[in-house]
Amino acid sequence: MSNDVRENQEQVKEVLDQTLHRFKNNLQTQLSLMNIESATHRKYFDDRKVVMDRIFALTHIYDLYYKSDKHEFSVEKPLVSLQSFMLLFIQYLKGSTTKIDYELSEVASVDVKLDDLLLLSYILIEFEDFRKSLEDSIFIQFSKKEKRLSLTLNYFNINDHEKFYDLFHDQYKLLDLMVMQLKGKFEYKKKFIRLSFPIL
Amino acid sequence: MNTKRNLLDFHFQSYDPMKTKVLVVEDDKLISFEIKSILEKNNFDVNICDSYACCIKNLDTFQPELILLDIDLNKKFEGIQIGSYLNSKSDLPFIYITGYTDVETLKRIQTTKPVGYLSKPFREIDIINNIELALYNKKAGLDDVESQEVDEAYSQYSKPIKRALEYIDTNINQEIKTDELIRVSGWSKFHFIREFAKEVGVTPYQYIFEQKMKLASSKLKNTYQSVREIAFDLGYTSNSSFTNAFVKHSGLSPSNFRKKYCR
Repeated sequence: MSNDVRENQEQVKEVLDQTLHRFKNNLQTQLSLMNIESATHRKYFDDRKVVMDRIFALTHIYDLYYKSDKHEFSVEKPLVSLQSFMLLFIQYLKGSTTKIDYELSEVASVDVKLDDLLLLSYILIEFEDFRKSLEDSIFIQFSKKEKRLSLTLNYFNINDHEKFYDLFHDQYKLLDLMVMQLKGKFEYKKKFIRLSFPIL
Repeated sequence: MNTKRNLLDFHFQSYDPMKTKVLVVEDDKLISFEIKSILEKNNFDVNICDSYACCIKNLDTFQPELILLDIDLNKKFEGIQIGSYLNSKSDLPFIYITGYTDVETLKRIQTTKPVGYLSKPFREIDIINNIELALYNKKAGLDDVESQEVDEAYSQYSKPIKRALEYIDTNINQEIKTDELIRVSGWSKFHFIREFAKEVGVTPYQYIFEQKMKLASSKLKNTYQSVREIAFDLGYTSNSSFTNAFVKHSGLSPSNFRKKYCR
């Protein structure tokens, strides 16, 4: 066997090992989310849809990761294009409602770590469930400033978003944990809620 | 033949944790929070750490009785470093939690002598069973009366054979090499193997094999551990080598054995 072939086989094995490990971690996160929901009494407007949306987020991310050029990215810290993922995922969410819209114009070249992007999608699912319970519409805008990714969430019928936390504070434990994991923070402004977190 | 007690016979006797202190070393906030919730619901006292430094500090400040350890802490395998530290500096039992199941990683973590291994994704019952078993084993090891019973069980053997049997008992979850048994006996290779067969009735290899298979049967009957986890706990680094050994011993694959005998 030539050295090139052997080296190539070793690289494929490494990618497979890391992907399997990551995938099992991601499945553990899905189970953890469900168990934390019970432990913290998080009640969803639509439990079935939340679980289904998380599974689709996981599927979309791995689809994109599979299609990405592994040589460009580190195997240990796989990156996925934010724009490609959000085009897929928010389009998927829009399949069941017209009351969600978004703007991605400033983030065409932004890549985010696979695990972080997955957490971000789970956070969006939480806000989408709040939207459904409020029978409201939501607009999400993504932007990047230096090494931080920001997204602003604007509910059409909420006049003062500074009061948003009070509206749902007893159901926030999951969101807080996910934002902590992202090393990010929430800011509550009159017109919007902003979530920002560091990216590579 | 050895009459030492089978530790797994005690597995489902009630072990009351009474606020046993467990340190969870995990950098994923969701997973650590989930484990904390599970353990607190089951009456454990829990602290969470997300780094090597925090863990070492908590050994003094929190004084845990058991540690649950993520292998890939901070994406730098810091968990294995902690495992090595615990193995060399303390007798605290620790259980690895990981999504890694490849042979290289399993071999690597075995050298640090964990009392258990839990693969992700896991269930509540998996965590509790592993912890209770580890705590029971620790308690049994510390219990003077039981130690005396074990001494009595070994009393029929000469001192060198007794040392070898004790070594096997202590290291049953590792790969046990005959050279190591010869070393603890203090005898020559030829003399040790001949005397072992004379006193115990079987060769060292057969004895170790029988003991591992007894433990495997017990775990398959009495626990919810996966076959892969049981294989690992017994020092096998692959499912297939464990399955082959088990089929040779009982005539059934581990999963068929479990189906047939599980309560």
